[in-house]
Amino acid sequence: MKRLIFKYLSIVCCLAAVSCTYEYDADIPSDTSFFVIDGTINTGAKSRITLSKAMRLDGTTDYTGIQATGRLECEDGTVINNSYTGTGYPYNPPFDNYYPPVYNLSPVLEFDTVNIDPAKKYKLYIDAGEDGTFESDWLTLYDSPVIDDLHYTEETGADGIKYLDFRVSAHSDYSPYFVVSYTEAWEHTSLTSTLLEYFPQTNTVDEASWSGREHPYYRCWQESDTPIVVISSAAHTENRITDAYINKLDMYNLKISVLYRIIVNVTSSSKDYYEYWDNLRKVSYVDGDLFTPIPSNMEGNIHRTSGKGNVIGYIGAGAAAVDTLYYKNKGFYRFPQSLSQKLHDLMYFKRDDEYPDDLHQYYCPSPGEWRQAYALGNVPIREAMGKEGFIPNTFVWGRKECVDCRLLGGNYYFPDDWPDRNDKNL
Amino acid sequence: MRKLVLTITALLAASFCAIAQNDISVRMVSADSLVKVIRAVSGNRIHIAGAEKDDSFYSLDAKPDVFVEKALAKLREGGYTVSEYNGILFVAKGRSMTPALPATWFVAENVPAASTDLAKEQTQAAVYQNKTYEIGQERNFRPGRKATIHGYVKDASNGEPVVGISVYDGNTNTYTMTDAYGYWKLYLPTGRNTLNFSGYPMDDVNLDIIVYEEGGLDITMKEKITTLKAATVSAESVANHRTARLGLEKIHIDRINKIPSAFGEADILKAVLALPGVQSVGEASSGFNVRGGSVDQNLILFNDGTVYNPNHLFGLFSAFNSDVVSHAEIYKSSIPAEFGGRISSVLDIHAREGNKKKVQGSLGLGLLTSRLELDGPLGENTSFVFGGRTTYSNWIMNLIPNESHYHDGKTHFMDFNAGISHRFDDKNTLYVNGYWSRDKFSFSNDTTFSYNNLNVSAKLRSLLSVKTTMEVVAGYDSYNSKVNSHEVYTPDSYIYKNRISQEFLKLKFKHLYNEAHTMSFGINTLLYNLQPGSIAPGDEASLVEARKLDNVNAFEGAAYFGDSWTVNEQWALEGGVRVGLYKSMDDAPLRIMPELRLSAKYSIMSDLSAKLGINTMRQNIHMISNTSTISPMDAWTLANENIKPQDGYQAAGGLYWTSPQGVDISLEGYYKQSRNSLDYRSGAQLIMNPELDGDLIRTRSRSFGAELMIKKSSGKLNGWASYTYSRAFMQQMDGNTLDLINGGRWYKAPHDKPHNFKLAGNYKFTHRYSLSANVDYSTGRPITVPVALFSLGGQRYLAFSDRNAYRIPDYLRIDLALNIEPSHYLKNLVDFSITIGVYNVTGRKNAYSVFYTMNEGDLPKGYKVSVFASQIPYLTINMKF
Repeated sequence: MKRLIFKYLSIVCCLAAVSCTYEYDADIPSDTSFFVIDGTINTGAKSRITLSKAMRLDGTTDYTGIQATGRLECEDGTVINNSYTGTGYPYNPPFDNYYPPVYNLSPVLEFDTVNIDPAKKYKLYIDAGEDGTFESDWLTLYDSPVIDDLHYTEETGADGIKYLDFRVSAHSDYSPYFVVSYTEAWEHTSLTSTLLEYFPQTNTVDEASWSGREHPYYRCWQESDTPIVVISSAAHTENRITDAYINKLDMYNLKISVLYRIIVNVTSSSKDYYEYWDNLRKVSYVDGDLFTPIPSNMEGNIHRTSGKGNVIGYIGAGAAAVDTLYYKNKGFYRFPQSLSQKLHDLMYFKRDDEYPDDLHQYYCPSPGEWRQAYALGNVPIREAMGKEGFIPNTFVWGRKECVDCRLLGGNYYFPDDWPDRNDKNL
Repeated sequence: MRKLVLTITALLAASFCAIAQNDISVRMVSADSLVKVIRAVSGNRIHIAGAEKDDSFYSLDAKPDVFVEKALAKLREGGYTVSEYNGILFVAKGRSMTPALPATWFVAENVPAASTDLAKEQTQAAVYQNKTYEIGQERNFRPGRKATIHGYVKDASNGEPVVGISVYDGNTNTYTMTDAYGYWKLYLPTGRNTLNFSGYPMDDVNLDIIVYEEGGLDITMKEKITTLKAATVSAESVANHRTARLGLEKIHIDRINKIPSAFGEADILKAVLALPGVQSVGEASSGFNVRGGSVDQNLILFNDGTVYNPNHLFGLFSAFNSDVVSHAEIYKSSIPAEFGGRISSVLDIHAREGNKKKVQGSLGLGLLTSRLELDGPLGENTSFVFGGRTTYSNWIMNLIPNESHYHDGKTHFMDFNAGISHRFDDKNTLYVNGYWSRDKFSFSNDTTFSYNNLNVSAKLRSLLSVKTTMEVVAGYDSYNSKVNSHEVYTPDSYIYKNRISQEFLKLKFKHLYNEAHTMSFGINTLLYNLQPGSIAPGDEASLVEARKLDNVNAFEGAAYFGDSWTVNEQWALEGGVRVGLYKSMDDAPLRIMPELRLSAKYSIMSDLSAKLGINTMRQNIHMISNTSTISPMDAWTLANENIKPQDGYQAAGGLYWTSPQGVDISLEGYYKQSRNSLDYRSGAQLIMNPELDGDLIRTRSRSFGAELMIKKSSGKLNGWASYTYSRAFMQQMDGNTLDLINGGRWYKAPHDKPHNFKLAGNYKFTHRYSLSANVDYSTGRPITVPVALFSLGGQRYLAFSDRNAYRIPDYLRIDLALNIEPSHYLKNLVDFSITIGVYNVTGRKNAYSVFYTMNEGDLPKGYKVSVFASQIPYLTINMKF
């Protein structure tokens, strides 16, 4: 056999692109549906179970309104029916003088479980009419863990930005798995103190109406829930979490600009519950990298007993330990640099009768001359003040967010338990 | 689809039959080959002597009825004399044949000179056919007895052993094949016998021998220069009808060069993938699947050492340098008892020994790889072979579009082979081989992946007797991988490593018990050492805590016995028992695991046979992977107290027919089942998990299929076409409701591709020009895709389909290459050959993988990645001198 002495003077001529990516459509059947059931059975408090439907990847959903009832059955036969049935749960949106009340598209079934026996097991049944019926596994109610500590510290990041680091410590006699969630609420103001109000109907800013308001229009309040975080101490010698990270707010975050509250709920959970949420977190990172894990669904502890489609959800159970922490700004918060520049760019415009989106003349204090510019959505905030007092027909203009705090989120309604920001005990 | 396959089959069969009706034309054949053609045409016995020193070539065109006369005239012109005796023709160079002994032959003082010449001739080693050789001493002749004849078959050009040559005795219908060392042995009756030696790519040798007693006969064969019009039945075809073995494919390096491949690089694994029943997860992916088995269920041996990752550069190149490889065999079904440890297949690759006559080498410089190969003698009894490859392929990564993940990638590999063989004496030879490879690549600036293979082995091969050979092999294999992550904030940088190594000792015997039984037996031992993972800080600024999982050791041993029994002309049986021992170094008990290998062949006619076989196999090592393809992060784990060994069986059967025109048609079906294959739980952490056992789940798998193959090894048109229908499914064996994949139902395995069509063909227009074609079609592999978006606990998540419920688009690729060999003159100092080819002629954007991206607030969007999304033309120039 002859041997090749000199081999392969290969000239490889590759065309423009050897490999490529192209859009891909898996052609998912239109009847693919997922019914989502989310919630926790609490002891010592009311329980809320939220029902919703998944959205298809093309952005559509077959959601037409879920009509559902539910009941909790105890192993001793007692039954607790849900105390709320409906297609939505109203909440007060911002600008309720214009927008009608909005109903949460995800209906909530509320159960009065304040006095249920934590030593017994319960099973959740849901009848969603045309959407089918569902039944959970037997739920074991864990007693609440104990929150040992909830605190924040002031830290400085590698980029030199300061932040507040919130941590919680807790222990449990029942399980090494902890479920941590928290609700944030905060008071904030608009960027400048004005007597103006934003009217979404006309997209204008004008003098505010005071009726029925206790607070100036530049003070708002809002809240938000956070995703559930599960933490395991299974590898530890005790069922304890120490200084578990909850949240981080940097010095430019509006939440800590006036008064901030965090209500932390810690619940003990089963290993299955922990693994379910942990898996959700892991598979939420979708990427087609060659070496990323193949994802797959995990079945929860609630199952469909009639109807078509899949069901997603894991019903938690147990009592929550709750702790609350307030933070009052005493100089830590800094106005965002980008917005500061906006204020410095406030210009002095002649007020026109026309709505301020046209070209206008404006006075630029430095170098002290009148110029022309487009308002670019800015609105007049207040009359311009000169050395000799108000300058006639001349206003300081700025972004409408400077005027009405609702445009930064939240609304004028403060809950009854919201403290006075001037309370010295905070 | 079915109609298309049948139409192609009919066209191929028609073209093969048409060839046989034309005039006989021979071009540039040796005298010996011309005599062989004369024999084939006339059917007469004809012998030739003195042709071994003749460098002349002969060409002739003639009708069949006058071909013999014209051929003999050509030989006379070349200086041969033609004599006839009792209807037998004798052709001799430079002398005339004496048809009878001289009258004074038996008078001691009057021995004619001619008889002395004859005696001298018989003492030479058999280098050519048509000579009568005497084995042993005539005084020891006992008629009616049996004797073992053995020897080596070597290549006349370089002295290297020739593997897979069929050795057949027509009188007794006794048959064998040369092994990896070119060694053969047959049990023959004393007296006159005729041996036929045939096999690709060598010219057939026919020998008349007279067996007086046991003895040896070494054969030297020359490379065949085939006629284009003569389509003959190949030795492989004949061998296939004699052996009871199913699912065995032999791969010759010469044939690999004819299969078009990306960038013009001959690749042994690409040749394996062109066979029916062998699939890969996707283009440019590591590993392969055989008859529904997973990638870790294939035992890949290189000089008796285990190779854990057989690919370079994401599967674009195999780990085996084809310049160094001698031959390979893949056992898809009837796995001999000497092999064990994997339940799906065995790919056994052997390196060359090196040219025994002179030092030679090859040097290749390319845009992607460069290679150097040297081999030759070191003294009279020693030869060496050395090969090295390296690549510098970063430029191709830069061609990848920006929106892919790999645009900024870098990639590099190198490998080295070294081997020495030393012959102490006629009975003892030592082989020492080493292989080392390293791959390194990164997709972005912050993470670098690398992995190494290392295999070293030493083998002593001894002929204990004419009937018994022994091999003692000791060696060390290791595979380790590393990930070096340089995060943006160096406090998080880390280095992750894992490693598997093994030391092995094998003792193998082959014994020719009698003419009907060839036995093999031996002992294999293996000591595993597994380092499942370690993490260390990436640099001084890193705050990553160093951790290391405990080493895992285990012992695996086996004793085996096998017998190949030729019952009669119709029946042949092969059976074997392998008893394995396994003990992991924990509290798990010693496992004793018997395995059975059985297969049978029944010859319905001489060219039509039916076979059945069943194998049981076990596997104590698992690859832990939750990706579709072998990734550098994949680790291996051993069976222990919690992880059971995999076990399975395969039943297969087939019909095999060889047409008179030399076309092999086979239909083989199989059914496989296995248990305790590992899959992973949803959200499993497979890396640095000290509780890994808890994240793994056991599955059972089943696969079945049928393979139809049409193969032609000689003539103008050669190659093979195959269609395979195969399915592979898995089912979780245990777990609670939360963990059950697809609710505990059977689901498609990641390598389930029901339809597969392959064609690897070569058509020789003339001796100079040939066209090669490669067609590969398969159903897209299964994938799991997100199907919906939902909110839970205030967060958005993706809902996924059932595991592997969808498929990526079907795969189709056609490659063409034109091979030009401008000159065939033996005396040329330099011979050129040119290959002009196009990989992926249709430019089809075959999907390799599908991924989804999801930005905050947006819906997820799916993309498919194509590795070769356009035609890739290439030009290869080879120079032989």
